[in-house]
Amino acid sequence: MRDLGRVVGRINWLGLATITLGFALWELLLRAGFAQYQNLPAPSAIANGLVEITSSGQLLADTRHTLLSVLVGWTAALVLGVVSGLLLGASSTLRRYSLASIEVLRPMPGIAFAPVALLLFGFSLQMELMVIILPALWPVLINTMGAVLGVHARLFEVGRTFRLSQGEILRKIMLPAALPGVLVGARLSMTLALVLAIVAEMVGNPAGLGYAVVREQQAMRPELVFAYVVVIGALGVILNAALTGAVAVLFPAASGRLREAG
Amino acid sequence: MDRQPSNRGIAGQLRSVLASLPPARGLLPLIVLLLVWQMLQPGPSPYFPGPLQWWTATVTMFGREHLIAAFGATTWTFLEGLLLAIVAGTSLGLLVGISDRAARALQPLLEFMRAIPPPVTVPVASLLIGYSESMKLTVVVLSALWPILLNATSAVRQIDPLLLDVARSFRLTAWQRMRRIILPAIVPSLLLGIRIAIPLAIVVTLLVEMLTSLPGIGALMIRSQRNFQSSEVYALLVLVGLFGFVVNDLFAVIEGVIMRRWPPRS
Amino acid sequence: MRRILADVSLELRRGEFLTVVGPSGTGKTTLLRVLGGLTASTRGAVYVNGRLIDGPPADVVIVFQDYSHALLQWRTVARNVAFGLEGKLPRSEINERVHEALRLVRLDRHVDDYPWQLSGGMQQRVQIARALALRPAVLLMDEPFAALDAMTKAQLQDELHRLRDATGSSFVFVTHDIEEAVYLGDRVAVITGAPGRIERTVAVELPKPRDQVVTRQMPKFLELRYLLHQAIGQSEHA
Repeated sequence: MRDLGRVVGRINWLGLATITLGFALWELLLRAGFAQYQNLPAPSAIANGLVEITSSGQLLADTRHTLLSVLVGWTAALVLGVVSGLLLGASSTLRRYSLASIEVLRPMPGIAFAPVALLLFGFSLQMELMVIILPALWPVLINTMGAVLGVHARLFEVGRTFRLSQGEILRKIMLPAALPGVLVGARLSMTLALVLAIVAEMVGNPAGLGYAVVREQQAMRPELVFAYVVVIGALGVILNAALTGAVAVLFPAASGRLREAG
Repeated sequence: MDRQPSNRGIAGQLRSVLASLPPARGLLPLIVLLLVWQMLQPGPSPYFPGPLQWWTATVTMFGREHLIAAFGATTWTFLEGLLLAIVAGTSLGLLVGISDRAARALQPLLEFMRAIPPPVTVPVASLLIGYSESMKLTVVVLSALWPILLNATSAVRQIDPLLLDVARSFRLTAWQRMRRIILPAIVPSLLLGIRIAIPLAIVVTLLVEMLTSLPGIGALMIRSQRNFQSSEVYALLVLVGLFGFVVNDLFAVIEGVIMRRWPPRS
Repeated sequence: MRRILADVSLELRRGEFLTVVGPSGTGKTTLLRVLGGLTASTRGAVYVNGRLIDGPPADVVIVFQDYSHALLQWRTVARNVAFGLEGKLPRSEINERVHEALRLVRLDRHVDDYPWQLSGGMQQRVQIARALALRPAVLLMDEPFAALDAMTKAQLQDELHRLRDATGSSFVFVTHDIEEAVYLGDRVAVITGAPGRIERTVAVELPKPRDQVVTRQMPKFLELRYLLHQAIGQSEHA
């Protein structure tokens, strides 16, 4: 009984109340005809819209496409980013001869690649991947490189004092020590990949959730537009949670340290 | 621990930003790439025109008057939107940070808005406001708002309670406390939020222009792409990249000037 | 090029506890690193059991001051202690040695904990256990208790004595704390000056087992403490 009380105490009642009140007000104003925003749908309409796109299977098709795009792009960015990050972290020569190029390329907004991608690949998944991969690889690269450079010198001395071979030092010391940084980069990259996929679908490839939003907007179905917005937001949260969960399962030690660090 | 000179004017700040850039020989890979590309593809091509073609395309577009106007439109929207976002984000962030009630009441809404990727707001705004400059501005402001607001909020929460005790023991009025303690205390966090908001604002500005063909670089890019003017598309890509690069470094300079009174970050 | 150490000549006997004391900056840490093979000496040589060393010798282990950076925070205590033995012994023997070492430092109940879950003193004990698992001839310790609070320090000092008696290893213990040097050592070497030199070496004839309260009040203890203060202070004013 006391446990229930504690759970109840932790729920943000004020926040819940505010948002419920907000929704109710929104619904009422529209129904009563006070607010006449032409294209603003009532919350009930949005809910109906969600049901509609789910039952018609449209939602599933769109989500599947975007998910595929995000996962493939993110994985590619992850692999490229980790490999290059490790190499750059390990070799100061490499750094000297490439950091400036990275600094120049990094601020390039992913969306600027969309027209080029359209030119080269037309309406296709590859077009989306081109928009996703390069910008999504920067967080991985930078964080991996930073993690490698941040491995405390003392750890390497411990390796030497116990007479470990170079390979053992790499495998047993450097990689595990750099792992938390790599995971942070992976998480940032995932969020970025989702945004980039959506952008690519809005501006280029007519498929997936990004295109769905534009499609419904042009079809003047505001309740569906909002419904898709909700789905996209939820997808972001789910992907993030899935990644955090996967990390906790695969790397229990690292996620412990990540949690400790707050 | 050596102290940095606190009288760093803009010139000094610019110099220190330039000094902190990575060594120039790091540009070698890019230069080599461009040279090889130029050698393999010297003439115009529908897919991979060489860098010199990009240059001629730039000159052409410049001559057509479109380039400067477009840049102006994009920059103006970006700046205006960013400034509005800074003002709104700071004030709202302060409100939410100071008032516990407001924080808890608005928390679900804030979390929800944070989860929505900024580009998604563009079609929504088009729906509600229509295709206009004010819609463009609204979207940029909304996108740049969240990082600034969230950083302002957390900065207010993290103000050392000791400082607030100091304010009380010196019997400062609420306004004095805001001006002398709270606002200065949140500046570093705000600057960080702005640094995050800048690329968001750029992306959204370009996105709106691409989707609606409202005047700007984005509109130019889409038009060139639809006309299969590949050199123009590449040229614009480079220009946008340069724009982003310059904006980021300019901000670094401004940030440095503002932050010169703060202890150097470890 | 700055000379850090000059004319250093040391001899360590089997099972001996040698403390090296001196003010900061005199090269105590460098001396330890040279003995441990981490830093090469520009002149001179180090012999362990009659063999000239070339890099870190197999039967010498260093225990560092910053335990949080010297331990592998992503490995459990047991796997940390096993670190130096991996690939060199069969799994069963490694397990045995790990448990033996942990029992010696009295951490056998924390076998599956992670270092970041433990206090500073406990983490340092894990590092010591890691060294002991190798059954080394010599343990080199670089101000291992400097980062700990007074009570933990006292506990670990006594524990170190117990360990020496139990294992028979020799110890070279670097510190800037004169009292600690006298309390722990069979012999104390004083390093002073720049470049650092061994000013003098003093034998510590205090009864064993040593006691934090009793020993530290003995006239002989106070005499030695005074002596060492003088030795360090004199060269400072020289």
